Amino acid sequence: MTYVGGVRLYLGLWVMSSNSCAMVVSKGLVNPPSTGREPYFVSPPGAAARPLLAVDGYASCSFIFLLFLHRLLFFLRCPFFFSFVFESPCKMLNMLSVFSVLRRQFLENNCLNVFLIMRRSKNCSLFSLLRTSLKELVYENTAKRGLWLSASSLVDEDLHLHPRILSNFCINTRSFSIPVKRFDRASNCRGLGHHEFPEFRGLNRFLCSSEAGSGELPRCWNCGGAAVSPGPFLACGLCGSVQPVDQSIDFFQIFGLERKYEIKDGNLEGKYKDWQKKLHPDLVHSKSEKEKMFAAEQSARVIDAYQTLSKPLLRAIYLLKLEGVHADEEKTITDPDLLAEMMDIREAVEEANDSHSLNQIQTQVEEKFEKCSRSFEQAFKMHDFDNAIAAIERMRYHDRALEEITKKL
Amino acid sequence: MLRAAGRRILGLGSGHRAPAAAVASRGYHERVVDHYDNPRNVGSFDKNDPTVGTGLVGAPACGDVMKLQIKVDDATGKIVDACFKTFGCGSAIASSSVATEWVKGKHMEEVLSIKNTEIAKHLSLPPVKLHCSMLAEDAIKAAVKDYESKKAKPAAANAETAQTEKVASA
Repeated sequence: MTYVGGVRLYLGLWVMSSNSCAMVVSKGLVNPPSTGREPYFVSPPGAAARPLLAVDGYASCSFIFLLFLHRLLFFLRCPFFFSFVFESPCKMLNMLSVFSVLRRQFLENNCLNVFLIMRRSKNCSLFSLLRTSLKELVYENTAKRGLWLSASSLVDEDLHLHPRILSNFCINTRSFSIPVKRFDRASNCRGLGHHEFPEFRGLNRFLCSSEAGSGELPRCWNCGGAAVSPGPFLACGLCGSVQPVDQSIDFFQIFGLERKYEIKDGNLEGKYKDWQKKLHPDLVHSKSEKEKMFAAEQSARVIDAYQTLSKPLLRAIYLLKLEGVHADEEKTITDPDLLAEMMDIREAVEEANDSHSLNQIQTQVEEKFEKCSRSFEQAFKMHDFDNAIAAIERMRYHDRALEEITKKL
Repeated sequence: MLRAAGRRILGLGSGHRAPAAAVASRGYHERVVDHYDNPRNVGSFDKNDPTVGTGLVGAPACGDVMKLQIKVDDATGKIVDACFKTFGCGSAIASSSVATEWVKGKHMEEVLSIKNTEIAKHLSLPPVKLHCSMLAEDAIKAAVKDYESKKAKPAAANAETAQTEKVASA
C-alpha cells in the first residue's frame, strides 16, 4: 500500500511540474506577443518571468482540459496506470504546441528563433522522432545546406550548448547570410548583446565584426588588430591569421590592379604566389577548424581571381559583371557575317591536316582575336555596353576556334 | 509512423522532393551517341540555289555554330531534302541531326511547329544542354525564313523588271 502511495507521490510531483509548465504556457495565451515578427527571446533586462512560448489557442485549451482530467482521476484515486496513460497525451500536446509555434516561426522565416525554441524546450525524444521532418522543413524553407547542417547538428547534440555550434554558425557564414541578415536588424543586433544566451553574445560579436561597414577598418578575428597595410585584408599583418572571405573585395583589388581591361606589368603570377604563401591551406594545417575553413575559401578565391584575370576573355566578362552587365546569356544569334566567318574558319581547321597550315590559321585567328580585344577595350571605356557584349561574343568564337586548333596541334 | 505523423503536423503533406533523374552515369544518352557516331545528313547544298534555304545560327555562350539547309519543292512547298553542319558539342550535333531527319518530307508550315522541347525529350538532353535544342529549332526557323525571302526576292525582281518595261514602252 505504502509502495503504491510512494509511486503516486512521485507521479504527483511529476504532474505538478508539468502543470507549472502549463501555467507558463497558458500565461502566454493570455499575454501573447504583439506582433508575429517579434523574436521571442529578445526581452528587456529584468523581465525574467516573461513566458517563453505563446501557443495556439486550440492546442493550449485541449492541453489544459486533459490536465484537468488527469488531476481529477488522480484525485479520485484511480490506479496509477490510468494516470500514466494520460501522461503521454499531455506530453504529446505539449510537443504539439511547441511544434505549432515552430511551424509558424518557420513560415515567417525566423529560423534563428526556431533554433532557440528547439533549444529551450528540452524534449529530445520528440525531436529525434521528428528530426527528419524538421530537416526537410529547414531545407525547403531556406534551401541552404549550411542551415540544414546546423539544424541537424543542434538536434543531434541533444540540445547541449556547445562551442562547436558557434563555429558552425561561423563556418556556414555564406549559407547563413539570408537568415542572419533578416535576424540582424539594427535593433536586434544591439539587443542580443544583453541577453542571457552566451552563445548569441558570441554570434553578435561575429555578426558585428563581419558587418564592418563603411568607415571602419576591418579587424582581425584572432588578435583584434586593425588592418594596417594597404591592400585587401585577406590575412592579418600582425598575427598572420587568415581572415574570412569578404565578397566586396573584387578580383582586381586582390591583385592591386585598376579596374581596366588592359593589365600590363601586372605581374599577376608573382602576386599570386605571394598571396598563396600567406593563404594556402597547407600552412594552417595545425590551426583551428575555423581558420582552416577560412584559408580554404580565401585561397580558392585568389585562385579564381588569378585564372579570371589572366585570360582576356574571362577578364572582359568579369569587368562587365562588375558593372552589372550580364554578358553570358544563352540566346541564339543570327549575325550572318560573323557566323559565316566562323564557319569558314572552323571548316578550314577541320580540313587542315598538317601543322604548318594549322599554325597559319592560328596566327590569323589570333590577329582577329586581338582586333576584337581592342574593340572591347574601346567600347568599355566609352561605357558602350552593347558593343562591348558584341565584342565579347566575337572574342568567344575566336577563342573557341583557337582551342580547336590547339587540340589538333 | 510517428515520423509520418510529424510530417503531417508540420504541414509538409506529400511534399516529397522528387528524386534526381535516375541516371547513375552522367554520360550522353545512347541516341546522342548514335547520332554522333553515325551522322546522318551531313553536308552542304549550294547556297545560291533558289530552292535551298540556309539557316545559320550560333550560341555565343558556348561558341557553337549550326548551319541547317533545306531543299524545298517549289510546287508543293514540301521539304524534299535537308542537311546540316554543326561545330559544337555532341548534344548540338545530335539536335541538328534529329532536326534534319524530322524536317524531311514535311510541309514548311508544319516544320515551324517543331519545338525544342520535343527534340530535347527525344534525345533525353540534360537541363544544361537544353539550349542546344533551342539552337536547332532556331536553325529550322531561320532556314525557312531564308527560303521565303529568296522566293520573295525574285518576285520583287520580276515586278521591278515589269515596271521598267512598262516605263520603257510608255
